[in-house]
Amino acid sequence: MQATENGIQHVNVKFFIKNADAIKMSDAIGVFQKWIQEDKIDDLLIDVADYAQVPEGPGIVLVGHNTLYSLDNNEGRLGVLVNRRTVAEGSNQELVKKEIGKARVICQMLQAEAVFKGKLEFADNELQIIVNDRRLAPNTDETLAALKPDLEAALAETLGAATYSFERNQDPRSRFVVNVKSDKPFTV
Amino acid sequence: MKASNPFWREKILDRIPKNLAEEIDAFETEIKLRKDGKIDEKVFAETRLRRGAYGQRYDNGHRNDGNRTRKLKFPCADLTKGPGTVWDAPGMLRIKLPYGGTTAEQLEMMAELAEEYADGISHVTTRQDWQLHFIHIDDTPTIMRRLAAVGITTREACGNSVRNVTACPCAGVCTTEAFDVTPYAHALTYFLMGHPDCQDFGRKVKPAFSGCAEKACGLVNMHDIGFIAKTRTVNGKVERGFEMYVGGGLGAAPRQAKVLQEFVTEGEILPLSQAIARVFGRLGEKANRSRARVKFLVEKLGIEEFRKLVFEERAILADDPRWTSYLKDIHALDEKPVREDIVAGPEPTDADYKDWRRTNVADQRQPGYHMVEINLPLGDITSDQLRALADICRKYIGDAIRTTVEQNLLLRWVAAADLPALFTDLKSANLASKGAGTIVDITSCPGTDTCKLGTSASRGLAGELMNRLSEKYYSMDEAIKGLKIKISGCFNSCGQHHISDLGFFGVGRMFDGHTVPHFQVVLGGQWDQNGGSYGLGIGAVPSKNIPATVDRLTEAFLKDHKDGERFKDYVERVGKGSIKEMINDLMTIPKHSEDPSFYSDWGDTREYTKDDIGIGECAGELVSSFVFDMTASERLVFEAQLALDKKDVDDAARLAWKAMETAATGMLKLKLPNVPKTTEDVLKHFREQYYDTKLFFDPFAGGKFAGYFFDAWENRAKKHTVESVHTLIEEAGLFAEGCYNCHARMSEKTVKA
Repeated sequence: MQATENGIQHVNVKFFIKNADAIKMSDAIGVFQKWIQEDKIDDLLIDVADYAQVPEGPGIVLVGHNTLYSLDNNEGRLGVLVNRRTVAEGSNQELVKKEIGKARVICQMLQAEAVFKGKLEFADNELQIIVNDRRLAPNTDETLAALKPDLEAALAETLGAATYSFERNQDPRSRFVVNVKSDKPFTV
Repeated sequence: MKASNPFWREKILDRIPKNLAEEIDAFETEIKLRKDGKIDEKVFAETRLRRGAYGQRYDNGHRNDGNRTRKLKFPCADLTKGPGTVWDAPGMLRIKLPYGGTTAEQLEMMAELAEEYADGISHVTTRQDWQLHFIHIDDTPTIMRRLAAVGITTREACGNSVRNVTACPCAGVCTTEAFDVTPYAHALTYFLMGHPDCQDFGRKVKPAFSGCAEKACGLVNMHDIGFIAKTRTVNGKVERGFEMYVGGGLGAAPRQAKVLQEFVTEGEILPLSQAIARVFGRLGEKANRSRARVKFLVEKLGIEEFRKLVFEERAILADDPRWTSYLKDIHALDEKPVREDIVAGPEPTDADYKDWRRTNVADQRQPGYHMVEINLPLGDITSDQLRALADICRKYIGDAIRTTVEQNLLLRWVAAADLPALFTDLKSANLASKGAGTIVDITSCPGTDTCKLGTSASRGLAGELMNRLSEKYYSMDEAIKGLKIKISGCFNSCGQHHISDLGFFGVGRMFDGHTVPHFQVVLGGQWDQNGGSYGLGIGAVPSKNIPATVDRLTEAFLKDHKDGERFKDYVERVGKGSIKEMINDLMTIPKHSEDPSFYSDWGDTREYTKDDIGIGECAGELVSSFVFDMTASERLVFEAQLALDKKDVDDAARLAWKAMETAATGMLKLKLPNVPKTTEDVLKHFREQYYDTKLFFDPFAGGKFAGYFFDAWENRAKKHTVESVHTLIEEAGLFAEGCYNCHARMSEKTVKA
């Protein structure tokens, strides 16, 4: 990993939805608009962007000042993604923990919404972690090796003790994207 | 905003052209100065606009959440990036692609930037640019550097400048063109970019090239300056040239362009464009922004007088070798096929392939090769798609890629034998949607999604129509499939609704104590012949009734049109009155209590309001080139100080001198029609205009500050020390102050007179 004063930043976490066919992506527009009205998230919420028409795209995005929260359909896998944009304080491990925690809260909030109630199930053994900054975290084995202890510790603390395996996106043009699998189910 | 911003410059500096690197450094310094309150917000606004950093909806710090308008409490507090534009509010970055030309490497860069700085989407505009949304201003210098490293600039993508030079995306491979307009569009782009004669406009200037008069691709009729390729034979020799147009434009007051001259030789198009720029810069409206386009000047003067002034101006222009130097290497940009013209085998017979083949593939002028249009939904493409497309392009066509004014991408030089495999590869990247250029390929501006001026949700409506029409596509009659739908979020026509069969632009109407989103229905426009005629509004229909309106009008056309009759001709024959009758019932609005859905817009669950409409930045800020030069001079003084802090004495001296020269040049622009080209000329003219006349003399200091300028030049060979450079920087600052004071005295005199 590139050594920098700041360590990693801009951590993204995505929890995958198991039953994507059961929900309508555009229903998230109304939910996100309501969250803005009700100040439901501790962030300055700005707007909702609708990319439902783009196949395997960013889906519906709740634009916050610090973070983008989305019902994301990249790679054709619907999920809840949090994308930290501003710089945050903390060690690498703390930053990963923070974003996993934030993504879980968003998942739970969506599950509690009337329009998704009883319909939204999340995969309990898989998630995706991205460092959305090619300069700070090039997509290499070295970055994975350097980050792995922090990722493992953050995952154990937030999702429970388990063996976590990491599969890095092998396209050198990609951001640092790892699909994480757990040998034990976790609760989102 | 991004933690990595400080680390990018050194990594990629060797890949950035020196002039671009310096410009971006300067912009970064201006950002710092603005944050320190050392640049006026208006000046900074125009500065960033001329670098492509545009505003976005809600950047005034307010948003209606459907119940009430709320203040968006950004952490930057009162810091602004322009009048009423909050620093931390997300903005848009417009990225210029001259004639829509792009490469596989550039597609990959767009993918990176959209992921890291925007919301994951790259958007193709109706003027062949890229746009990224939700960008933080602090990230823009890094984004610009990364773009510059792959040969892209954002310079003059917005603001009161010459905007992207667009051109027919089929240029060079088209079956109807007179010749390839690409090298001419390229030459005009880089000739006018940053040209001193293009820095003092009241508003923007949009040029366009077309290879022929018949088709639409270049849309010359709606541009400020337009060129249609033509040839003529003189003494048995074929000469290339252009029919040159001026004064076209859409917007709230659309005008068809007028012929400036029927045949302008290829060597004359650059000087004549320069002459137009000078006439527009000198006589164009400045105070009234809504009348500050070339079309209004042409209208005010009359085309004959405008033409006379342009040719008079042309006659006195000092020769510039760039006018014709590019002609020596006119084939430098020619594309070559990556794949051989091998004999094609039998093509697949499945419906998907056949539909795509029919609507998205066209023959090239070169036998055995085809153009393939990628139909992007509302101009949007994801980063994964961009990377997949880069791979596909490298495999089949190399860098022969263009963006189109219908928000699509065009792949050129596809060998006939490759079409089936290309289709399969595009399909696996979700890029093989059929129906390019048909009724399902709807053009839309950003509208209320991100535009400060948007009145209605043009993208929301376009998405809804796209879904509904796509479902019916297979059962649709060919006459309907061939129609075009174009939607703008307001009357400004960025969605080009005037030149569409079915055009719509957003408006609001009060009813039952609420504002209801509507679209004005525009009929009678013509896409062909470079946007040959403009449609007119026949009435406003509530947004939620637009899909029914489209059904009603297309069904009537299908039933009543004559063989081969175009929609525009059908509208004329039947009459707009009768057509309005057909949709009258759709213009009524149910009461809020009966159907509240009418009171929200497409893709937005909030109750509709016009409270969020802001002040647009299309017009930029009116900042004279004197103010720009003085701002640059002050920045250079600041940079000289930074160099001195690093003990780089020589660089500090160079920057201090440059600061003085820049300020003096700004002063000379107030007096001379042509900017002196050499330092010696700047000194000579400054002495004649300001020193010998005592105009520069301060009531207390006399000519002392001008003396600093002259002395600095006299002592240029002197070896500087930290101390002497310190003095030089101080004197550069005082000379700049002297320029400001002199300008103020001159302005006061003018006001009194």
